[in-house]
Amino acid sequence: MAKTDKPELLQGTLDLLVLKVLELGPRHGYGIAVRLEQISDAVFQVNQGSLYPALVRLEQQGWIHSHWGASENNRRAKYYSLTRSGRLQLQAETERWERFSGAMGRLLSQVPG
Amino acid sequence: MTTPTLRPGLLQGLRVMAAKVRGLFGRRRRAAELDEEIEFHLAELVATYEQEGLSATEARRAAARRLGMAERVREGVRRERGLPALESFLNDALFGCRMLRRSPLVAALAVGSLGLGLGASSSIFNVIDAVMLSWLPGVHHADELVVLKRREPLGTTTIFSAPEIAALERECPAAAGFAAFTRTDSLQVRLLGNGASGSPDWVNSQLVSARFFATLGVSALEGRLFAGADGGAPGSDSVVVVSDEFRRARFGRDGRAIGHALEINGEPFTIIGVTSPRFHGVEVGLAPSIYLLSDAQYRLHYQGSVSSMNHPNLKAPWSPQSKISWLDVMARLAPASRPEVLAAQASAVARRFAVLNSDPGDVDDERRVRTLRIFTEAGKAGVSALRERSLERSLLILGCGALLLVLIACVNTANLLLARGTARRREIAVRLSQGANRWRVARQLLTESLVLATLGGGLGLLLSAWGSRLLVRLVFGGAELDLSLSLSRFAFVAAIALLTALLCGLAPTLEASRLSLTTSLKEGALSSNPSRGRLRIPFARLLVVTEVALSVVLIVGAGLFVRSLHNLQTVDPGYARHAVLFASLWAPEPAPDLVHTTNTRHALEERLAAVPGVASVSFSTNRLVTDNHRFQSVIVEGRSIPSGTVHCEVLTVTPAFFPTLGIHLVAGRGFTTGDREHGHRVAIVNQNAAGHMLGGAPAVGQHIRFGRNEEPIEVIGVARDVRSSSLRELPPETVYLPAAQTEDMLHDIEIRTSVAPATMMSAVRSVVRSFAPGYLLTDVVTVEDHLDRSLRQDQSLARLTGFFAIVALMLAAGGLYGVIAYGVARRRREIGLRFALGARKGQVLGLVLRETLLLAALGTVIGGVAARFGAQVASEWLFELTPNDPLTLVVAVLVVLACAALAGYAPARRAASVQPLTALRSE
Repeated sequence: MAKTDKPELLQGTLDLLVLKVLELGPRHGYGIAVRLEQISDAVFQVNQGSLYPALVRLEQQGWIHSHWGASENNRRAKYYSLTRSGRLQLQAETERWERFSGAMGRLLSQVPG
Repeated sequence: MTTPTLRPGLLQGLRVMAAKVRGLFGRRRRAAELDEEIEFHLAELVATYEQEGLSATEARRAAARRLGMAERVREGVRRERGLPALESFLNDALFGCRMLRRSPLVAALAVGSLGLGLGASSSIFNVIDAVMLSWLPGVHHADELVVLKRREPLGTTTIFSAPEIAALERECPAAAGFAAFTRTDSLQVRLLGNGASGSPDWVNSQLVSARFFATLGVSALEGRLFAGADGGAPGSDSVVVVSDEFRRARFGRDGRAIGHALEINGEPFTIIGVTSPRFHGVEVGLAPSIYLLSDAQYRLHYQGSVSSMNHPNLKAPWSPQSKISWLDVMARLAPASRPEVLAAQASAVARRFAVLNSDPGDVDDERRVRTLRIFTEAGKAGVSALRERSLERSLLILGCGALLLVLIACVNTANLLLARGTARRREIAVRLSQGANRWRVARQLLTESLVLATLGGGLGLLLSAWGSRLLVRLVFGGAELDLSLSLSRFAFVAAIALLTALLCGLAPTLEASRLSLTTSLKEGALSSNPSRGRLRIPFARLLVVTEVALSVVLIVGAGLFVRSLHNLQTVDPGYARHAVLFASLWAPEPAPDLVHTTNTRHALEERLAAVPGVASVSFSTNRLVTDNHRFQSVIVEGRSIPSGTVHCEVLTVTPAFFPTLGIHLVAGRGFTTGDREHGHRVAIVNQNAAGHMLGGAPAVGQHIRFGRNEEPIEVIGVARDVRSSSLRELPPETVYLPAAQTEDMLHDIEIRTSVAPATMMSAVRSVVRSFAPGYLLTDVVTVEDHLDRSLRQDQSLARLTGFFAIVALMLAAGGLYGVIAYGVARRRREIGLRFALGARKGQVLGLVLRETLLLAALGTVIGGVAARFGAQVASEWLFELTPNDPLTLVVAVLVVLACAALAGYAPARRAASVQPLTALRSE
């Protein structure tokens, strides 16, 4: 694993990514980590350990909620799923990101002069 | 750059907060769940890696790397979940409490010594706060009040005449109002009417101006308070306002006071109102029970402190006379006005009055007018006789002593914590090695000292409730001060306790932060030689040396006060210190004149002198060593004195005064019964006055006058200078006048006894009672007790600093013992080896004792130097003693070294009784 050339996640973006992953359905922590890596590994380095504090944070906000269930190989695992307000939040944040990144992109691609 | 984060609104914030607070509870269950989650995560990772072809060990290692250190994940979640700062603080505090419970003796010692120091300092702060800092209660916007003072060539006074105050009210737009009042005095009060008890009582009373209550903004609980219209109105000299306390004491909790009649100094008065229960007057420490209008002065025969210019008529009512100054003044500043403006306006008024009252052509008067100036001081804390410089000074000294005590307690506690910290090196090292950061460990240690300091502070608060009362009794001889806990007083204790916590925790924390991981763990593993690291020893010794030094400072201070007190108790005042009884005589109202008709006085004098055991009896206007003084300007005939006149204390006495008190005359003759009312006027001056006025020329035969137009008085004798105003000072210039030639009231009696004076008290009382009904003897006291009472402040300083010093000494000895005993325990092996190599018991004993004394000596030297500087604070207080008094210093050093030797003896004995074989085998 080459660590050096992958930028750390921007602060706050991890939360958004987690919401995005959970949009497709409930997952346990490991599942979220795997999925996160699949969709972002090419670009970001995700520290799996920092996932858990983010989950707590999101749960406190009321955007996700958790329940215990059985995993694929029948072990007890904690599953997280998006709540209704989490879904709204994801929508709002996605729009904001798009506006922001679009603006940044335009700004940075301008030819000086 | 701002990144678009998930921004919560206010409601969202509240929701998160609630979740975090919930997160503080059920932590154990959550922690277990998180562990399970992490375990699951790891298992999944391992399974994945194994599928990729890694061996089981490699897979596990890779998985751990992938997820990160489990402890770090837990820490991250914990931080997110609850309120980490609060949580870890609570954890630390709980842990600290558990550690303290495990060593209760250490904890008790630390909390006890801190509590004592904090209690002492907060008691002193409470008193300082009550006397100097607190705002007047029950007064509207006390911060707008100022006290008016008058600067004259002879010094600063606070009193004004009634017409002057009326002019101030008219001519000073910078003030919204003026409140004039006399200093609180006690008057004889009898309650009249149904259900009233017949016996008269002495009650604190105050004469006030009509606008007094209105200016202060005091509200009435019942009836009405004085109003502006009351001044000079018919009947204004027969109404009173009483305090709520007086109402409750006399009429019961729900009783009504208004309309009731009182007899004050024999004159009838009616209660028209009761003040709000919050109001306790404007004089700190003296809450008047009765307020009378200043117009009542004449009816009451009130003769309080007064300063007069040029032949006033003290027998006539004072209110209309501008030559008699007798009222203190406070003013409320008008909105948007400034104290300087008011001072300028008031100065103009006061100067006009001074011109009006001065004798044309009198140099002294002219100078007085020229330099007269009114200035203001903040009035929010009221006025107070308790705020004298000497009292402030003694509180300051005691405050310094108490803070030193706190410091010593801190050092002691630091030492205890340090010793325990050493025992805990391994624990700390383990925590550091597991990834806890040093700041976290330091915080843990600081929290522990905070727990100690908090407990100590609590104890200190409890102690101060009692201590501040004790202090008031000792230093002020009792005063009604509000000593209850207030926010500022609590804040003071809290601040000092916090500082204490920092100081106590500093040394152990510093040491922990210097801890080297590898050596500590290794040591721990060996565990038989817990302190090979050399860190602890210099630290602990440094602290002990500090402790010794601080206690030397306290002991020197206490020693100085004790010696100074002793000097005061043994100084020759120039009059008899034994075998004299003082008493004050109060004639029944309304017949005060009886006391100063020569015949009555003579009769009483003869009756008293006839009592077996009484050698002689005299009367005087004032007893010796009192706060009441009368000063008058004296002109010497045919001499020019640079200042024009000499300000002399005037004391009117009967002929027996000098022999009764044993005051020697150095020239001329004493008064005799031949110095009669209408005869040739005579006076006796003291040496000081003779020297000052007459410049070495023989005084006897010279003539003096009080004022230009007064009769000349011949000086017939010179009396020895005696410490008449206080034992500390040499007397001021004094003129004695014969009682027969003045109209002064002679309230004080001096009785010389041939037996122990205390045994004569009841006999004297009964003679006075049988002499005339209603005559009252008050304040009957032997001269020894009277002088002792005047040394109250010196006594309390000596006692309290002595107490501080003893506690400090005990703490220092304890600290010394701890360090030496620990050193001996650590060096058992070495000592055993010494014995094995042939050392004798005496040598080992000497070794340990020498070490102890070396530490003590170092502390003593440092302390001695510090004491030299510290003692300067006390220098003004010392009587016939320099702050560098060698005897005190030597005694202090010897006491400290003796205590050190005692503290070192037990460990030394233990060292000397080490059995070489067991000691060597024990490792």
